[in-house]
Amino acid sequence: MPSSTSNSDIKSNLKKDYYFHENRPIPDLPWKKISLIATLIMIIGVFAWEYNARVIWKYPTGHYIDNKGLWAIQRNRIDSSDENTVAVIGSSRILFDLDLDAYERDTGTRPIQLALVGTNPRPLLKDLATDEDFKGLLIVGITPGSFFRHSGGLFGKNPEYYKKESPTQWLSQQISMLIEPHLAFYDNSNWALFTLIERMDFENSVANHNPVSKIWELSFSKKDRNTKMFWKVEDDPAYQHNARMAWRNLMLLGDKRGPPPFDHDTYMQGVVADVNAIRSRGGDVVFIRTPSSGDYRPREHKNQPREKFWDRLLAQTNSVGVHFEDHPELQGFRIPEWSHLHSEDAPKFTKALVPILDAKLKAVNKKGIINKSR
Amino acid sequence: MLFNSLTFIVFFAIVLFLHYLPFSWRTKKLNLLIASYLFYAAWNPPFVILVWISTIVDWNLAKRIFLESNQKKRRLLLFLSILVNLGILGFFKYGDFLLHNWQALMTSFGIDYQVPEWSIILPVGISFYTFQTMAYTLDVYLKRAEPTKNFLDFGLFVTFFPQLVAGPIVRPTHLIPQFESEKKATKNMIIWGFGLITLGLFQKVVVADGILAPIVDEVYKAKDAVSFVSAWLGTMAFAGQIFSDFAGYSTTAIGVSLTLGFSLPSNFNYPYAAIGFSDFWRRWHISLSTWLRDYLYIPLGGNKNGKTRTYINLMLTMLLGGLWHGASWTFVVWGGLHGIYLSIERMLKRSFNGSKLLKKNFVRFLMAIGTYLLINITWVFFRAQSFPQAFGMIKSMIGLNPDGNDKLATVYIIEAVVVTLIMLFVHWRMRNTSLEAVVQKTSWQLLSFIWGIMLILIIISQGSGDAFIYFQF
Repeated sequence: MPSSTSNSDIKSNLKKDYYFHENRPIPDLPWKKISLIATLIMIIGVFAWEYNARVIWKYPTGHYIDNKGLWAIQRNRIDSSDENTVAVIGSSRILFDLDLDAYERDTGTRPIQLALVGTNPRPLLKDLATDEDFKGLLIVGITPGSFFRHSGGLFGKNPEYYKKESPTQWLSQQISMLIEPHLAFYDNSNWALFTLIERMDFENSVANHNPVSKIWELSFSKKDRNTKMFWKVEDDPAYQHNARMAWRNLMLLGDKRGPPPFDHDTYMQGVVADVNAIRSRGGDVVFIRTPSSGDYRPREHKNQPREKFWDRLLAQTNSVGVHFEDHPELQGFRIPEWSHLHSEDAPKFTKALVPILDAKLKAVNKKGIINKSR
Repeated sequence: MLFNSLTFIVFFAIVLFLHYLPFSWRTKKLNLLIASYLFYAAWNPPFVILVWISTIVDWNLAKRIFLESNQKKRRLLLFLSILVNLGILGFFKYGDFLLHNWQALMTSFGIDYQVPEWSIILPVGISFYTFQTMAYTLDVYLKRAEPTKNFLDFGLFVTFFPQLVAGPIVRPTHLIPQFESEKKATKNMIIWGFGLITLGLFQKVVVADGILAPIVDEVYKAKDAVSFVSAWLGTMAFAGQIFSDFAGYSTTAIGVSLTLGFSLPSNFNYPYAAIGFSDFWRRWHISLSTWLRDYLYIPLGGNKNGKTRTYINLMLTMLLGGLWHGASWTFVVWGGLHGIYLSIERMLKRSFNGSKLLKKNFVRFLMAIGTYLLINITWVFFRAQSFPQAFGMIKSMIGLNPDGNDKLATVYIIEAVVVTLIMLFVHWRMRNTSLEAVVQKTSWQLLSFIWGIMLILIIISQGSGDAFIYFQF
């Protein structure tokens, strides 16, 4: 705030301040030529970048960015759902491991995929429990470290986003979806220039804060969020190693911080109330524990022992649950980075899961899932 | 609607198309007015009503003030206008803040007062358009301008979409006359406008969001003490981020307006080359600082009522300027620090006025560096979420946290240092000139190349469409 202005100077200041351009000066240059060449350079540059993405880095096309907007489109389907609707919530494991095509082939129903990476399904369970429109079957994928905690995780506020999505956010999503499947480089969270620069391997003194140790792209999604593992995680040893080290880094960080406070009793009361709310409308809730391996499995056994967490969850909610450890058919699949199934194995896992879940539901006199009317 | 969103590209293309169809000037202005309402409603439709309230109230009250000769009645009408405008602003922006502070005050007196649950959404850009409409009524009251006779022109002045939500805060005497007669941009104006849009988006998408935001977040999300180097680099990265974000918005707004044939004022003039703090405020958010000067500092008496009163006016102006940015005491401290800097500078100027030493280039350069470093201290309060965090960061910056942790990876350190040095170099070189003058002297081949590269970088480093920081104000 210029302090030297006196009252009487106001009019002269209004004229001489840089602030007041009567007419903005336009540099006198051959602007037509300049803009044409700039556009040409841009087109060549973007084509080169796209070529690089498709041919050299081999990023696939035909996919959609799995963001809040794409999730909101699926969430919107719940509002017009009925008792035959199947919805899936959970974290990335059920998102990767439950193949919607395979599920639909064997059951006649295509589930609404609402699972979110890095996210506790608890806020989503609450969201659907309070939504009177939802009366169908809810499949909850359980990743022990993600579910049994109070934090909502990365996208725990997605239900809030869905309720408050602005017209401009909705429209930007629609326009973006016209572009996304056609450009390999377009996935802004993974292939943006400075994200790639961050991944350059410099020597670092701050291992935990090294952006190289962040999670790189692990999957690709279709329009309805049917999600498959990215081929590089499966076939590129260096990329796969990075994915594993990212998980290990997160585990080390978790160990360093120690377990967050967790009131199991209160937490379970909330879960039971939400499950009962869905059942009171004629819907149902089942739980699925998908496979893990490597550093994850022993850690999960240690931190969330099955009898104290999984068994209690099923008992208190009086629910059907499928734990991969109980069924040889659900074991032996490839888990390239210890947490999610290989893209070729996810359909096989789903195919094996469907009859098990169906039989378990029918065993307790509930409607099975292999039922064309469901 | 964000400038860096796909929706805006489509919206802007439609607006430009309609603007250059052979409609009458009135129809074109009507198109712009509707487009401006759509631009605002695209974020949250019901809040357009607030813009309408401000428009109708100030249109009517300014007219009545102009026609009224009784000073008491004029003052009452002005008071009513201020009450409505600041009432809306106060309710939506400061309601929660005031209630919580009231609760704290009551608690200190031993009274248990519980703040009611109050979930208010802050209408985007409310501080900007409120100040803009208030300037209209104040100008008429202070007899600096006459009210416009055309309601359409006034409505468009309040809501003109390029600068509606984040400035520049335009004066009625600057913009309304531009609506009076048909404005047609020349081909060069349109292309230069697109050039400015590119530059603005480059600042926002590439520099602010692409490079600097992750560095700032890494330092300012730390729960424990950070090291000296991390604190300084994180804060300098924020200095660069907030400049690139906000100046980027202003530059884009100016470019968008130019393509439509309108001229908006400059909002930034290479502030990190400022020598001293009054120089800084002549270069930073110029439309706000001049607004505060003309409608607050000078009506308070400015520097006309003695030394003490001048310092009080200065502090009051800066404290309120801080609060304008957000309903938090950290913003007030930010403004207060600037007030203290300006007061000290004023005192020193009296003592060293005419000193030859101060005219030496090397000394001026050192003073610019000193100004920049002290400005960085104020940014800590602007960026920190709480006082403990801000004080922790300041402690690290003055070396009182020897055990603080390094938070920045090598790549972030390189990026922060390189961008900061480039930014300071550019600001210093541009200190006494303008973008237009430099562009004029540059070869067209080089300009084509730079423009093309900026476009490529915007496209390949597109972020997640993050909102401009100043939208929240």
